Amino acid sequence: MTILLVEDSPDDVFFMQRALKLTGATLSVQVAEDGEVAIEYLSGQGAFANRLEFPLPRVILLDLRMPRTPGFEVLKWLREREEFDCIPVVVFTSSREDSDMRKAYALGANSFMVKSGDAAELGAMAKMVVDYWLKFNEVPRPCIEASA
Amino acid sequence: MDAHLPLEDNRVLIVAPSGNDALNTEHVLRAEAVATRICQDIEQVCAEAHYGAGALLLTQEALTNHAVRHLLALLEAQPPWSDIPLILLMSGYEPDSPSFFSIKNLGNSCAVTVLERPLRVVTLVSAVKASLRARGRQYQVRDLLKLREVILGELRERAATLEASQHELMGAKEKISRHAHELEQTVAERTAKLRETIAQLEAFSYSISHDMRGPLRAMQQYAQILLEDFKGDLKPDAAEYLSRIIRGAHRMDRLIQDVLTYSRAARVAMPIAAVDLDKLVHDIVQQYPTFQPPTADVQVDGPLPRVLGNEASLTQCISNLIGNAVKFVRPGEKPKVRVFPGSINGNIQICIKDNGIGIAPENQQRIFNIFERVHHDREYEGTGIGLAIVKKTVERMGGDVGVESAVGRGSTFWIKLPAVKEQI
Repeated sequence: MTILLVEDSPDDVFFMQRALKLTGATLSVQVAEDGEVAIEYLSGQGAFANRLEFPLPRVILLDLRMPRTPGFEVLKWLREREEFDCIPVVVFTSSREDSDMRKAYALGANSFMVKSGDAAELGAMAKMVVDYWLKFNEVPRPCIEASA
Repeated sequence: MDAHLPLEDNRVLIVAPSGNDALNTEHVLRAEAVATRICQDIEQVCAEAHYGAGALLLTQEALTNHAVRHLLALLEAQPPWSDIPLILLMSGYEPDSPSFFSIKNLGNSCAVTVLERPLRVVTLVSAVKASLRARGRQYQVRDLLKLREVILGELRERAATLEASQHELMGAKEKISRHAHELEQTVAERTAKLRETIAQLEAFSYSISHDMRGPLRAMQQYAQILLEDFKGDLKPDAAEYLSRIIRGAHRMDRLIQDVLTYSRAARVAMPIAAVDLDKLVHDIVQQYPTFQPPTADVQVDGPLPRVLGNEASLTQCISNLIGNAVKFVRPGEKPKVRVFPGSINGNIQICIKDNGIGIAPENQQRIFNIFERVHHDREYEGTGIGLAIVKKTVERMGGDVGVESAVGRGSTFWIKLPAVKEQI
């Protein structure tokens, strides 16, 4: 199962990869270091043309503040395309601003989580994401087959 | 010198060149209390008429062509109200005589009465009196006209004053509207500037919460990972230092969050509504395990009344205060906190009484300032912002906050807020 982690901070990428690994689930974590790369990945362009190597994710972890194309733009782009309707987006950001939460939900985010500075807490969050979005959350079968 | 006296208005100017006619006439008229003045010729009449003439009395002998020309000129020069009565004493004149034409001419220019000699005294007297009476009416008209002029003059003056003050008023009005416009502009400019400042401040705190806390999270987590993943390789000292790094980063993060909360409390919109204080306080106590047994005893003496405030901000204030109440106890002692209502001058007071260490009088005001702390972090940890947030928030809700305390005898913090006017 593939998770697409859209995150520009190498530290946060490292922490999340570690936390996901510690969940013990069999996962393929793909990293897009900004919004532009994320869009390229999702539309299977350029270096990401091979869907076997870069399959559509079962869930997207999306940072908001990134250079060039910020998270909100990725979210907007994604929700304008029917083929991505069943890919849940978990916003994963350092912002606790009400305005950011409102905007994220309005643009079609499925969940909103605030980054923790505590490794144990981050571990719990990663476990929750895997358990909920990859285990218990249901999506139509064709969507599962399209992703891997 | 002849002063112009009102008396002269009613005198009769007599011209009678022959014999004793003038004196006789004067005698008769004076006997009837009529003022008279005998003139030698028509020139004198014209001069005297200037000082006033109730009537002119001329005998036929005085009515020369020369005299008629002068009379016509005199009559011509009279003001519109004036119609000098002219009494002519004739003796048997013919219709084609020169005197007849003179009379006709004069009759077109004034009120002429012709009396034929010989005449009786009563005829003369009644004709003169009738003329004077008519002349009296003219004088009344003259006086009315004068009065009218005076009134008109006054009116004109007032109109001018009015116009001037209206002009002044218009000027003032214009000035005011110009000032109002300027004021509006200034307000608009200031508002725009303020908005810009607020936007900058928001961008600033946004940047703080994102960009500055990022590295802190990294420090804290790398240290935690080191502790966890390399446990066996670390000497005890190294493990202790890593713990200190974690604590430092954690503390710094809390400080930043508190500063952000404080700045938010100072600037975000705070809609005021009726708040069910009883439910709010019970919810807080249930939400925090540290407010419950066995850690602490928090007793709510309800029901607490409803107040006017902002629910979210009020939740933050009261959890801060109860948090302080359970925190500042002597080591090993179990916190006992009582929340109870009070009321002052129609306002609601929420009191939070603890059995803690108490606050010295000199510190009781200081503690509400931002970053002010009485204790070292190793004794009681904190950022020194909590009470500043409470004060700022309560003041923005139109309330007040304070404390009564003595060292070693606990503290009672109170928040005062407007009561809700309950409808019956």
